Amino acid sequence: MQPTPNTLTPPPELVDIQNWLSKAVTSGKFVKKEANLRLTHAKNRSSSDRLMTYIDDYWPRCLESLTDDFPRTARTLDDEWETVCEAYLAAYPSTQFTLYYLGKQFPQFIVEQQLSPWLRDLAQLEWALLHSEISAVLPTLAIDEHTILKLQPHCSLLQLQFQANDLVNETPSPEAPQAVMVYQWDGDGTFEPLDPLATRVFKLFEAGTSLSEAFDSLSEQELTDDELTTISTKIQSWMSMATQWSWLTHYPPKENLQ
Amino acid sequence: MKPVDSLKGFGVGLRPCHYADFLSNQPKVDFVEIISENYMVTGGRSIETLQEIAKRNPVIPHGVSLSVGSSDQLDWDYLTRLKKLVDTLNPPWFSDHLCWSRHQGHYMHNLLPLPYTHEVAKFVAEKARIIQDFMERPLILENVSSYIEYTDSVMTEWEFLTEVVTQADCGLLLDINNIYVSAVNHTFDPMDYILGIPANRVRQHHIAGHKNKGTFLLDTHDHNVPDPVWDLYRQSIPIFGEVPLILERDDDIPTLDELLIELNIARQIFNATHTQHTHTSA
Ligand SMILES: [Fe+2]
Repeated sequence: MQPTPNTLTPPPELVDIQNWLSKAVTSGKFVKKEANLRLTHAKNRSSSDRLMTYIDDYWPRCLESLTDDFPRTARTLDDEWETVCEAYLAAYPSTQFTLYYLGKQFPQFIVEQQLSPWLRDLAQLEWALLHSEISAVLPTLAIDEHTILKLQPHCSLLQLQFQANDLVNETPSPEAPQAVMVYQWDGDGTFEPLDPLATRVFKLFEAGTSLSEAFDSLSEQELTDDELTTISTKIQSWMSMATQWSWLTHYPPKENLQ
Repeated sequence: MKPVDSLKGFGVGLRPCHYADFLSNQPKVDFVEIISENYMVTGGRSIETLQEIAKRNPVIPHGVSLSVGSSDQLDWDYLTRLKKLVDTLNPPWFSDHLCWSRHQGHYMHNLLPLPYTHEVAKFVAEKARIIQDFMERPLILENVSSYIEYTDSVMTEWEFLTEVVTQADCGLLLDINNIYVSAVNHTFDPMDYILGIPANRVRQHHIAGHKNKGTFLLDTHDHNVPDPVWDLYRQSIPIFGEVPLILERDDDIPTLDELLIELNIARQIFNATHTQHTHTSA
């Protein structure tokens, strides 16, 4: 059966109460007088106290979820962590049915807040690792040179300013740019460093391209003599790596996956 | 998957810390219940584990984000994902709460109560009907614990619940602990609740523990089931008869063995009360 069109009209009093209560719960702010008008009081609890039960649940629940998802970022930000989370939730309230996705825009938020490049990389890497664990690994493909390929849903190609190992080990170090593919392996998120040429190839796959188009596109770009002589062997080794770790899928993907 | 036409007996909420027990043994449960949303993401190890466990145990999907009471329109992406999961498990029903948790696309990640008015009951029932038709499977709605009541309400919670499930023609997942928690928080007699709902619509029970916060009870699922909740369960048995029951535990989760000892208390209470009642009424 196909979804029915959305034609239900909610009772105005329901919209009104949900407008008010959702704002109170997510912002933690409400006018006591209004709480008294809208909510009853109990024998030993005022309407405001009763409302606080929901407010006191929302914020710790969201904070705990973000702390679980970004443990290294949380430790690095230390005392500032809660303030940053609060600002993040105000800017990006949860729009997903599960807390798994609460941190989806967090790396973007760190960029917008112009926090340090180290924090920007750390948040980006932590989200990519988590995302890889909750995303689909589609069956490995038989690839011919004309199949349009795309990165699998569990893969993220990141261009970092710092070494990924230093970031996960929380070892602050000088900038040393590195590209990595973050992916799911045996249920866990992990990553593999990529050299600049491999990064170019997988960037093409990220946008959706065939093996032969990727090869042509690379040949048209400025390559060193050394790269030109070894390119075909290199592509072969990247493709076997991508096959072994299920990095690629057909485009468009066969399933509708987030 | 293990096919299930109907369900009987006693089970627990399946939690990741007990996956290994379910994979290596056959714990003494008649069925398990999962939090649907945890398996509605597109991949990951949990889904594979669930599929393995579902080969040996009937699984009931129990959601927390349907938000049937939201004034928002239905979320078809959510429902499509839910249907995919439910169809894979092939349970006799799926469940969620009579509450709202989403407004204007934003989630509160909590189960908020509704104002108990006839207009709201009609609106929610209509939504529940559409959901049930789309899912092509019975929906059963659970009563939530609550900490607020609206001045707009014109009836009791159990009258509202009855109106919704009757109009929607759906079943009830009656959480005994939630009745007790709300009864203390809103000062009503929990037996009025139990006697006030249509017994023939009760398909499943939940039982759990809560926290006493001094001036109110908080539904935390982090304690053993306290005696007053067991007493209420005992009193409900003659009214509802044999209803499948899930013991819920979400925090400070003990070992599965300890949880199964607690589940056995429910079995013993049921057997003793049901037998006694059958003899008395024979
Ligand atoms: Fe429950």
